[in-house]
Amino acid sequence: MTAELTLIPQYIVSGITSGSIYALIALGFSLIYNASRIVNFAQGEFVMLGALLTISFSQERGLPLWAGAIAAVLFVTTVGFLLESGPLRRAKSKNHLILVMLTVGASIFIQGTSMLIWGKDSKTLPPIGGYEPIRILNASIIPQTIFILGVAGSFLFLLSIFFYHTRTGKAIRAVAEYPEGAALLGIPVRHLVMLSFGLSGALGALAGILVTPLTTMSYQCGLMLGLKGFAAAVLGGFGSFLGSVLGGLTLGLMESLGAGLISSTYKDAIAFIMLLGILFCKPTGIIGEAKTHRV
Amino acid sequence: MLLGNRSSIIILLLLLGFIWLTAKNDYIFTTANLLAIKIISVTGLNILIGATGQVSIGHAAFMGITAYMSAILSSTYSVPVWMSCLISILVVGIVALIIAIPTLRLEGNYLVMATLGFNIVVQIIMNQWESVTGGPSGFAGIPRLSLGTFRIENDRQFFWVIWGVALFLIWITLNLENTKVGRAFKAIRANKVASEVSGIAVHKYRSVAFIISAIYAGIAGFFYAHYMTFISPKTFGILTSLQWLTMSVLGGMGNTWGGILGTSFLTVLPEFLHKLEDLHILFYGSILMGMLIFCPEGLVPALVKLSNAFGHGKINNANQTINTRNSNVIAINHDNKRLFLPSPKNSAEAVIKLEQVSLNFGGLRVLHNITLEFPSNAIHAIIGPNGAGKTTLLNVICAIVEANEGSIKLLENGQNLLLNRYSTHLIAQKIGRTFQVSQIFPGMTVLEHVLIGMHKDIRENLMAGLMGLPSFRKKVQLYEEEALNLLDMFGLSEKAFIYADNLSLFEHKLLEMARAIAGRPVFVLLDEPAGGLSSMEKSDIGWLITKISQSGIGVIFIDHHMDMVSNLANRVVVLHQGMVIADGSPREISNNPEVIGAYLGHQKNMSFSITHGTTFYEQSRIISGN
Repeated sequence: MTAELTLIPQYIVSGITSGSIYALIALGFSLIYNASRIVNFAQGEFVMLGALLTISFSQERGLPLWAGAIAAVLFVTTVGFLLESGPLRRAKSKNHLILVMLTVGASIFIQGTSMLIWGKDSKTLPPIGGYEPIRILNASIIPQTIFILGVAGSFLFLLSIFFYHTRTGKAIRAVAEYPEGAALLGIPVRHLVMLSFGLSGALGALAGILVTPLTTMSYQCGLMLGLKGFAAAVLGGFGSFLGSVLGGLTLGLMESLGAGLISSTYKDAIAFIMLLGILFCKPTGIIGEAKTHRV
Repeated sequence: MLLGNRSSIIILLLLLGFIWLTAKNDYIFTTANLLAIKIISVTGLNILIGATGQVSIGHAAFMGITAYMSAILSSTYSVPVWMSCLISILVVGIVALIIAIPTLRLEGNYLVMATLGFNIVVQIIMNQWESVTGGPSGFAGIPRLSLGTFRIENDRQFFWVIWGVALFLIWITLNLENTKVGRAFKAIRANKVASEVSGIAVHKYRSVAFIISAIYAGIAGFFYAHYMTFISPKTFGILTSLQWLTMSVLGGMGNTWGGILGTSFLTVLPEFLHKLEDLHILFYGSILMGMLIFCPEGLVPALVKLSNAFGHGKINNANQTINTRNSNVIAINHDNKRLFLPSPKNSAEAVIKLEQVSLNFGGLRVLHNITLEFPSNAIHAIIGPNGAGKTTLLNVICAIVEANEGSIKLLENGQNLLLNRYSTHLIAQKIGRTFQVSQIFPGMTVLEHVLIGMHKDIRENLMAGLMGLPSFRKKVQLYEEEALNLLDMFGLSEKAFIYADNLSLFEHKLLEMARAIAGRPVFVLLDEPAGGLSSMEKSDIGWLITKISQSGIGVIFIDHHMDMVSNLANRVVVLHQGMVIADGSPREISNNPEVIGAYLGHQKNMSFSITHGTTFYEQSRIISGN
């Protein structure tokens, strides 16, 4: 066995780890897209904000890490609400392209503001359970990885319960399927759209908090993470919840295996080459299906 | 427009001359030169937005590709500069083609996504392929430009070169708007489906627009590289693409002058506010958001609107002769009207032939085993209850929807005119079409609608058009005259230069019919041409349908007005639940018990229907031929 092949378990573990982060971000994209048919390009900014706010709350304001994290998630949830009820709802034109570009504008706006607040330097959070790696099979893993998998996994589980077994969750799915129909049935579509923005803010923030101990975070990082989550969402089939999770994991694995076995130089390009590939070959994604529309 | 294109260009030239004469230091020239480069890119981006209604967040990548290619070719491989310019622009064109073909086929946000991903990939390659590109630290020592033996050494010399190029491209872009290509771009953005059924190859035009816009960015990249003599990947990232987009949004998306204004504003303003350095990103974010929320149409269109509101504007400065034309607008005067109808290319007998056509939407059977022939020498009516599949049948004939089974042919002298080229716009060149809900092009004049209908027949010299030559203008006037004649027949010539959005429902129906026959089709398919109209208007539509048929164009129309159907049609086809249940003369149909059953329910329910619904009652009266 060559040295590279013995490292495969290591690659798989790190692939699943970053994959679950991408899945959380991709879910945020899908949530908003389903509720409003808008691709929210500010999703990555939620991730960045979540991480940097946690750093500020826990390191500068002296809150315990968990409290800082909860405060940050709540804060970013509010940012999500505000994005929807502010710019998007106030926009004079409801043209779809204008609204999507508004989220691009919001993304740059949040980036600019964050640079003023936190500066240009990268910051980090201490990993849960310290830096001492644990060995499982051939892979050595720091405890944060297990923590990420645990938290991301349980949130995915909670979300699936939310979507399939609660009234509100079912209503959100109904809005995704057919907004006019849902409105006619008395489902408060406007509130659910807003809720979706908030929820996706929370998911983004969570992803940011989880990933920061491994990668560090600065005002610019949101963009790249957001775009990878976006690539994952497209890969899985934009708007599909299961697709987002599968897309995220696939992307994480491909990235980590590609970087490990082929070349780490182009690690970041892998996501976007896959994105272009899937757009060219099967734009509906892994599990998406073509939709027909009436003329 | 507040000012004509010519006067605006002259003002721009005067401004440049003023800068040339008064600017004391080279810094101002550097800013002006970089401004010209950005204006070229933004102008290109606006062509794309104008033609597709979609945006790209990846055009900086195209700029980067030419910049790097030309730099590498001319310094590493000592290729002559202008030669490397040609090669790199060619490469950008090809790359754009590869991106355009799969992505522009799709609706929605795919272009944004694909261009964004593309830009990131390109930037990563620039950063990582160090042996060739010099990596993150950049590529230095790029040779300067020279014109013959004259080397362009400093900012002042470059000033006129780059502004010459920029003005030339602006001039071409403005003239493009007056050519048939420019008109097709506008139509596609305004209404894709209507463009397709007017015979415009939507996908082809969108791809062309994308390639042109990429080439503009490429030209900008070439001059940037050889002007700065140093390039680094940072310049060609998505932040640059986003800045261009912001400039376009600020001035007015798709508007050339808007782009110039937006770019100038966003380039010059930060120069005045030197402390802005740290606020730069926030600045762009705020402008982009603010504009999109409060003034999504952009500054220039908003200003034009404002000036029109104060009565300074003309709707169109084109052909003034029309204003002297007097015609009766309110209703069509059947007797006095000079008849102008484009005659079909040959008078040979044509026939639309459907054989065992079936269509399912998922589990829903919409059309079942339909075999029909429509000869072009008659007026055919298709009737049937709601949901019978009437509109779908028309959609299948003009390939908006593809049938699951069966064949559809348009035979002329026994030859199939549709062949295997099964695409909407090619079929549209033989079969015109109107819609139940009128599909007009918002923001385009009535005259332009007809010119779009004539699209495939318009032969014009694109080069002459781009240069804005007078000979081109004359040629265009001939076509406009033809279009006006057609509008005259439809009672719309008085409104030729009004935006179609401002017309009434009746006028929309008329305009759609005029557009459908402007391309001299073999057939027209009219979907409820009289839907929602008054009886006066209905009779006008009926008169027009007869005239269209008399001119040799086959007519198939859907309608619910039984009086109109029996007066006009030679033959009536009744659809019910996707099947043909009756086919014959209006008299035969009105006595057919199955038809009465389909409309009213079978005998048992009949008394109920008649007593409880006046519309049903009316229909039964009409159907029974009374």
